[in-house]
Amino acid sequence: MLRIPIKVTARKLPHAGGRGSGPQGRINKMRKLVTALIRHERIEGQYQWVDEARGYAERLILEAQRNGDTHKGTMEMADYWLLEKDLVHKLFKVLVPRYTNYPASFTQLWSLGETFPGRPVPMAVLELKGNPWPPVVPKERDQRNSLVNILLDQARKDYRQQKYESIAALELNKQSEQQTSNIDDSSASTS
Amino acid sequence: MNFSLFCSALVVPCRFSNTLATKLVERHRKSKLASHTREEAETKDTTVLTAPRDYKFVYPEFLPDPTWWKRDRIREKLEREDMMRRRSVIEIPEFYVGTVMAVESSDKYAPGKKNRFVGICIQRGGHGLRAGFTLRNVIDGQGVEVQYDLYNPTIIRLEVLKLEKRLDDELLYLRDAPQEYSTVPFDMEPVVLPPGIAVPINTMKVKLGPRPWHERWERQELKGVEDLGLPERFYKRAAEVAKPWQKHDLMRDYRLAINEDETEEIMTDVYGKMQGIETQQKLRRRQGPGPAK
Amino acid sequence: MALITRIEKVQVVHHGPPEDCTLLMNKDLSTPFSVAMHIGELLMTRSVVALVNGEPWDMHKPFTEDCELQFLHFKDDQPDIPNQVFWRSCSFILGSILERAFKEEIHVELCSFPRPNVRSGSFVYDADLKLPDWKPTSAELNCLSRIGAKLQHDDIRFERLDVDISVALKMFQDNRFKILQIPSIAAQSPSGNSVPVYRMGDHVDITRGPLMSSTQHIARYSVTTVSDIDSPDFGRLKRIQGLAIPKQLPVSDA
Repeated sequence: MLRIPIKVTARKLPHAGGRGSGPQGRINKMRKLVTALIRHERIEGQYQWVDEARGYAERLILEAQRNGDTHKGTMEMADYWLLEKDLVHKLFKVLVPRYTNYPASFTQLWSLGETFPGRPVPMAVLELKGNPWPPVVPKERDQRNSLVNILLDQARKDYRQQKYESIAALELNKQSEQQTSNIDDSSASTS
Repeated sequence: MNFSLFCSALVVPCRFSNTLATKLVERHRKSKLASHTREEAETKDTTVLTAPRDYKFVYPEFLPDPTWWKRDRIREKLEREDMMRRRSVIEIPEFYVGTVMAVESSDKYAPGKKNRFVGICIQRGGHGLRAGFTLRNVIDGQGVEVQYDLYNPTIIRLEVLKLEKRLDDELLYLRDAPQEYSTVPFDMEPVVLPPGIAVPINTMKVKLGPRPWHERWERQELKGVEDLGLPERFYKRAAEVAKPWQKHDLMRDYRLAINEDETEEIMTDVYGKMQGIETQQKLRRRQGPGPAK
Repeated sequence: MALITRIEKVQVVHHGPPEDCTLLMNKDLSTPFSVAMHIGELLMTRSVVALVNGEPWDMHKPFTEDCELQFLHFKDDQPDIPNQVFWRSCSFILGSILERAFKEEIHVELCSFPRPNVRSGSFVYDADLKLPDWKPTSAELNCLSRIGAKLQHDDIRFERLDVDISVALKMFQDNRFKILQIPSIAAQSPSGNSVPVYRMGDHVDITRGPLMSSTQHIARYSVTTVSDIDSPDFGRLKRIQGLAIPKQLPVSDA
């Protein structure tokens, strides 16, 4: 069972393999994309192409993992889908061990937004998980304890402390003024 | 210096500039700098009882209809339970397309209110309680086909006379073949297979009669048919309308079938229940045929 | 010939990026910095201190035994040790500035600097400047700051040396505060009579350490205030305070 959300019907992509290439052209384009993905582990392209190719790549790895390299049908599929034949070896000997007992999907799709200028085309990045490239979304470090942040925190705290003290002093002044005025009143009344 | 050694030092294996060495990729992948890409491993519980892998071929009707808008997990489960209840009453044997079968069903117009039909199974399909099969035979020189629902309550007895498979998933082309290919005698004795043997595959090739036919058989990839002997233009046209890309379309297969994980889950469920039913049936067989219902 | 001894090897297990590895290094000769040189330039440039068997260790202090090694920098998830080391090193540098900055007729006697505390907002050095009524102008403070800030280009290493108490007394004979401090510092040392001394270029000072690998880590350095304090042990002193930011943590100018 694939671990990715898939559309209930396939995209037809009539121009994927060139105008008028039809379903055979679509499959050829998918083969190129899957081959490139297994080769480079990260590819960029039109969202709809790449998303469609994602299903094929996932299924291919899943089948390879499930049936192994001794299964005739799976080997035939790998031979068909991987245009560069050294990748058949990579699929069975590198990717299958990499994704042993892997709970999640084997690929990751990142949307890149639309191209500009010109006709807007949604683009995307498709990558194999566990690739060696720097992450698409960088990992955020915990910077709370960095020297600069400690200094800034402390400065902020001091500023607030000063502010409270000044407010407290103002209130004290007011109270003392009131008291003195009370005394004046009482003295006036007694006199 | 050894010449071959010298050569091996000089000749570096050629690599295209846009390719990546797998070794290099793996080294960087395992580097500590790439710790963000690692995921927790999961261990699978292997102690759970699992069905044999060919179970889905023995009982294909337990798999639900894969059409996405017809799926309903609860209905499927309830249907499976109903099927099991029926199976505990009547013995539905293992059979395939090409198997010779006899079906005894109740028919209020027939003498004795029972009807027995013997024929070769040419089609099997449907899902759940709506599963069924078609038997074909030739009676008085006339081809007869009867479609039965597998879980129809009017069926009294299902008997396998000759258990075998054929080369094709459907034998509908027998309609266009000479009658001797689909003729089965009604008083045929059951052929008993030795225990523990795999279901034999009948590799017989059928010689079809002359055109016109019910379907354009040359456009289907039939294995159990001899050369059709058609003019060249038929094959040309067949090649034009063929869809060779569908054979390798992994996602098409995925969408048109129940996926393997779900199949395994369903078949494990079925396997557990069938064990109990089979022991009951064995007991009943040992006691001998009871009073007819 | 007696000085040239047989070189023994120690096994150093490095944990952390780019990869865990084990190296055979020379005993009493190789330092964490030489391990970093073997592994990669990134570790050479960004590492502030090392952790050897869980203890903070100078980048230029030789190994004495088999150990497990880790390199620390300012952007670690828990950068407490590098922060403290940086603060201590900046105090050390402040001492060197005070010695260098004034004219020759003013004999500055450095006293001591307290334990580094980043949360206090400034690093500190107490010294007797022999200028009791000096109120520094902003230009003068700026001059002091510039001496410190320029050190980043010089990339001067901090080197540690454990000297004998008698040698230490001779080294600091013209500093009346240090002479008073040396016996108690020596008493705290494991051998009982050695004094940890650090050298940065020409400047030598006593500190427990560790200090950072070199002065190249400084990005901004400023001496902010000079105030009078009364020390219970050493009498009336000047307290000089400053602020510095490491190169690895850029702060915007705008």
